Amino acid sequence: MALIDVRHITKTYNSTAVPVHALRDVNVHFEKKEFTAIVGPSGSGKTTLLNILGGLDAPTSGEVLIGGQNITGMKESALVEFRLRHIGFVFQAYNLIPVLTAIENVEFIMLLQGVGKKERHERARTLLADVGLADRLDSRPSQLSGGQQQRVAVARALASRPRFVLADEPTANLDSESTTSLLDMMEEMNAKYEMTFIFSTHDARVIERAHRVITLEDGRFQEDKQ
Amino acid sequence: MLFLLAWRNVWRNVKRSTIIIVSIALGLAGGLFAGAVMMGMGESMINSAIDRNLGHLQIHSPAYRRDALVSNYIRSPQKVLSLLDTLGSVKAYSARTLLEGMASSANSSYGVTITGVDPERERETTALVSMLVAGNFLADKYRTQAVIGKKLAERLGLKLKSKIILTFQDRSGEIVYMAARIVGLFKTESTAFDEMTVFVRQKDVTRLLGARKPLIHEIAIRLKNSSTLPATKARLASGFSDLKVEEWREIAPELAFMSTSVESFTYLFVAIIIFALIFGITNTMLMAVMERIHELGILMAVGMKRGRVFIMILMETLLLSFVGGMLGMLIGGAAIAWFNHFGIDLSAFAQGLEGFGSGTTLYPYLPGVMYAALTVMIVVAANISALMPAWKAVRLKPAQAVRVY
Amino acid sequence: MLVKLAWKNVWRNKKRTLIVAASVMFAVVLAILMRSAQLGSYAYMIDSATHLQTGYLQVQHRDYRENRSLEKSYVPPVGLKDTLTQMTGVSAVAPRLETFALVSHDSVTRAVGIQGIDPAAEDAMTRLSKWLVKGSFLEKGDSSLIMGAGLAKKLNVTVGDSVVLYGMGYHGQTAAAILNVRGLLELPLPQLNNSAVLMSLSRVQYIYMAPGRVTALVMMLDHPDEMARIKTELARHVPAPLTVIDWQEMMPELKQYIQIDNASGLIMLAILYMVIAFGVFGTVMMMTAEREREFGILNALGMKKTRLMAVSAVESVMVSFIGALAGLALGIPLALYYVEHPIRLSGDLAAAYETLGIEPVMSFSARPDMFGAQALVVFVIAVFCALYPLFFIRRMRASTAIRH
Repeated sequence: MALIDVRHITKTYNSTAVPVHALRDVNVHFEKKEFTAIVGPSGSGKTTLLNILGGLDAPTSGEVLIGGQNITGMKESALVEFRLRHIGFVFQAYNLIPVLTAIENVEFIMLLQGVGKKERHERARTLLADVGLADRLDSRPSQLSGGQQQRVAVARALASRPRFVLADEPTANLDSESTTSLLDMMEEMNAKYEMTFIFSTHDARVIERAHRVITLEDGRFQEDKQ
Repeated sequence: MLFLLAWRNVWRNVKRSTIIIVSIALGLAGGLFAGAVMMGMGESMINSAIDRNLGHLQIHSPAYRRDALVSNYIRSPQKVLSLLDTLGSVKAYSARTLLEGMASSANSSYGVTITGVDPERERETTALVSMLVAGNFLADKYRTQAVIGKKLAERLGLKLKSKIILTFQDRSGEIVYMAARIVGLFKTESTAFDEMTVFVRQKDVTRLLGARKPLIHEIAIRLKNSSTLPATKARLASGFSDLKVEEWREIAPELAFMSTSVESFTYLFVAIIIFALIFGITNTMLMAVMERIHELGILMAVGMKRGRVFIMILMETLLLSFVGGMLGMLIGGAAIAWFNHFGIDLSAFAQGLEGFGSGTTLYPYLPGVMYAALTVMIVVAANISALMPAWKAVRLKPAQAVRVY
Repeated sequence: MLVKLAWKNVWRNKKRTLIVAASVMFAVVLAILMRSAQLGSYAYMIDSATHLQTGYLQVQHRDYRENRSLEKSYVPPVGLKDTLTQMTGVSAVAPRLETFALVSHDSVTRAVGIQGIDPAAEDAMTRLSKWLVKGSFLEKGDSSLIMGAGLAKKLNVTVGDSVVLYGMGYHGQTAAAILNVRGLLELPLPQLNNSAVLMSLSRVQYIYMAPGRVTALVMMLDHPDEMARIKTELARHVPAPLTVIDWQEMMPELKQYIQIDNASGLIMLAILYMVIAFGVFGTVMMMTAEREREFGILNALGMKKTRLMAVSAVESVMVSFIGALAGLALGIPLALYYVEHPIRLSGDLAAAYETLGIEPVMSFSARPDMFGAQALVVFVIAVFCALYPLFFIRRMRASTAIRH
C-alpha cells in the first residue's frame, strides 16, 4: 500500500472571471523514505498539489488516500486532527510563533497532541540537537537567522512523529550556504528517521539533491525521474 | 499554555497594548470618579436632610400621614417615649407639635409649618442649633419666642428681635394668633426649609391650643449609627402597631430617588464610555489579528483547532482588559480616596446646591458594589469587542493564509 | 499635485480608509448624542420651569423680589402691556397678582398661595388648563376659584363646595371672601399641587382691595436664546420703579443647578474625548505600521521624506474630514429623531424626575452650533493623531522598512 495515493486530482478555481485550472487529472503515489521534489514553473500547480496532499485544500474532483485512508471527503475538524498527528509542515516563512523560544516552538506541537511534559522536553532537545541547534534552545525566532528558523521548523515538523513532511519552497528565502546546510540536514533526517520528505521548489540546487523529481506544467503531470 | 501564549502575545506590541490598557483604565477611572462625585452629592443631600430635621426614623399617627390636621396627634405618646428611652440604638428624639399656618409681618405673609419643640430635645436630635447665624435657640427671656430661617426673615422684612405673627387653627377650627419675638435666625443647606419652617417652644403652643399636655404629631428619632435602622424600626413597629413608624426614605422618598437616579446616571455614562471603547478595541484587535495572518494560518495548518485559536485571541483581550481594569480601579479609587479626604469645594455653586439641599463641600464616595459592577461592565465590553476579530481570525482558510506573496 | 496624490491614496485602499474614517465617524456620533442629551435636558428643565412658574421675563416693582408683599404691587402704566405684547420675540404677556391667604373648609384651614390671573392670557402662555382633572377652568371675571388637587384633598373639598378665604389686603386691610370651587388641577410639582389657588385677576384685586394692581407682568418668548436681547430692549420701555428680571434671577437655584450639571457634563464629555482619542490613535498607529513597507519603497524610489510626510498629512486630514462629515450625516438625523421622539424614562430615574415636577423624558437638543462643535473637536483629535505617522516617517529607514 502506498504511503500517499493521489488519484485523478483536478482543482479549478472559479472565483475569478476566467476559471483557473490549477491541476488537471494528476495521478501519482508516494512511498516511505522518499526524498522527493515537485518542480515546475510558477503557476504550474505545485503549491496547490502540496496543499491538497496536506489536506489544506480540497480537490474539485478525485481523491487522496493516505495510508489507505481517504482524506478527500473528511470534515474540517477531522482533517485538523489528521494533520496534527500524521503530517508535518514546513512553510516558506512565518513557521514559528514569534513569542515562543525554539524549544517551546518544538514542544508546542507535542502539547497540541497531548504528549507528556517529560517526553516533550526530551524529544524537543533531541530533535533540535539533530538539526544542529543544541545551543540555541532558548532563542526566540527574531534572534535566529533565516536558515536557523527553517531548521527549527523542520525539528517541529518531525516532533509530531508524522507519516511524512511537506515543505513548500523551504529554501526560497535563504542564501546558498543556508540552502545547502538545510538540505544536508533534511537528508540526514530522511535517513535517520526514515521520514518521507516531499517539497515543492524551483531552485536548481534543491532539485539536484532530490532523490525523485516530479515535474508539473500547467497543472498537468509531466514526468517522474528518480 | 494558551494562557502563556496569550500573555506573551499581549506584550509583543508594547505600544498597542499600552494604548488599549490606558484607554480602558482611563475610561473606567473616569466613570468611577464621576459616579463617586454624584453619589457624594446625593449622600450630602441625604445627610443634610437627616441632620437638619428629618432624623433617621419618624413616628406619626396613621391619620396624620393621610391628613396633616391638628386633631391627628398621637394619643398616648408617653408609652413610645418611655420605650425610646430604653433603646440603646437611639441617640436622641424630639416629640414635636406641627401646625400649618402663616407667618406674617407688617407688610407680608408666608405659608409656614410651625414646629413646637422642647428646645433641649431638639438640640440633641438635629443639628439645627449649629446652623444658627444669629441669636439663640428658644432660650431667651421673652414670653413667646420664635426661631425662623434667615430667608424667611428677609422675605417678611424682619430681623432679630422683631415681632412675628403666627396664625394657625386650633382643634375646634378657630383661628389662633401668636405674636412672638424672633430670638434666633438659622441658615441650612436647603432654601426651601429656611423659608417654610418656624420653631417655637412647645409649651407656648400647647397653651394657645387650649390643651393641658402637649399635642404630639411627630416623634423624630436620631440613631447613634444608621446601620441599626432596620432593627430599631422593626422593634418600634412591633411595639406600636397602631402607629406609623417610618424611616427617612419613606418620609422623603425624593431623597431616596436622588441616590438611585444618580446610580442610574453613572451606569449610563459608563455605558457611553464603553461604546467608545468597544469600537477602539475592536479596530485595534482586528489589526492585531490581521498582521498575524500568516502565523495564525500556519497554526491552523499544523493542527491547532480553530476553537483554540479563537480562545487564544479572546484570552489576549481578556488579559488586556483585566490589566486595564485593575489599573482603572486603582486610579479611580485613589482619586476618590484623595478627594474623599480633602473634599471638593463647590462654594461657587452654593445657591444651586442649596436649592436642592446639598452642602457645598462634596465628599465623593462609591459603594463597593458599584466599583465591582462598573469594572465588570468594562471588562465584559472589552471582551465582546474581541469577538469579531477573533471570529475573523478563525475564518481564515489556512491554504490562503500560508501563502506568502 | 500633492493633494491629488493624497486623494488617490485615500481611495486606493478602501478598507483602510474606511476603518479610520469609521473610527472618526463613530466618535462624532457618540459625542453629538451625549452633548445633545445634556443640552436637551437643560433646555427641557428651563422650559418646564418657565412655563409652569415664572415665564422667561417678568416686569415687577424693583423691591418686590426681596419683599413679597402687596405693598410692592403696581398699576401697569397705560400702554405698557400692549408695547410688551407687540415686541418682536415675545409670544405672550399675562398679568398676575400673587399673594397669600388662609383657606378653610369645615374645620380644616390651610395656608395657600393665591394667584390672580387673566385666564385666557395665562392659559395661552402656561397651558395651565391641560392639568385640569375635574370641573372647569376659570373664565374672565370669574367669581369662583380653582385649586391644586393635593390642596383639595387636604381641605376635603371637591367641585361645587365653598371655601372661606382670609388674607391681608393692600395697605394692611383685611381680605375675606367665601368662594366656590369650580375646578381642580393636578399640577406636576407637589409644592404647587398642595398649595395653589387660582382666581381671576379682577376678583383677587377686588377681594384684596387692590384695584388695577398687579405684582408682575409675565412674559413668554418665541426663542429662549433671544432673552438677553429682548430684556435689554424691554428695559428701555419700563419706567422706574419697575424693572425687568429674567428666570435666572427668579430661580437662581435652577440656573446654578444647570451650571453644575453643565460643568459635570463637560467633564464627562472630556472623558469621552480621551477614550475616543486613544481609540483613534490606536487605529492610526496600526494603519501606519501596516503601510511601513509602502512608505519604505516610496522613499527608496526617490520620494523625499518631507514630501512623504506632507502627503500622509493631507491624507489624514482628508480621511478625518470624511469621517467627521459622515459622523454629522449620521449624528444630525439621529439627534433630530430623538428631539421629535424623546426617550421615555422608567423606574427610579423617572420617579426622581417627577419629584422635580418634570415629565420623565430624556429630551435632546438640535442646536446647530453643538453639532459643529462636536464634529470639530473630534476632527481636531483625529488630526492630532495624524502627527504620529509623520514622526514615524521621519524615523523610518527605507531599507529596513521594505523588508517588512
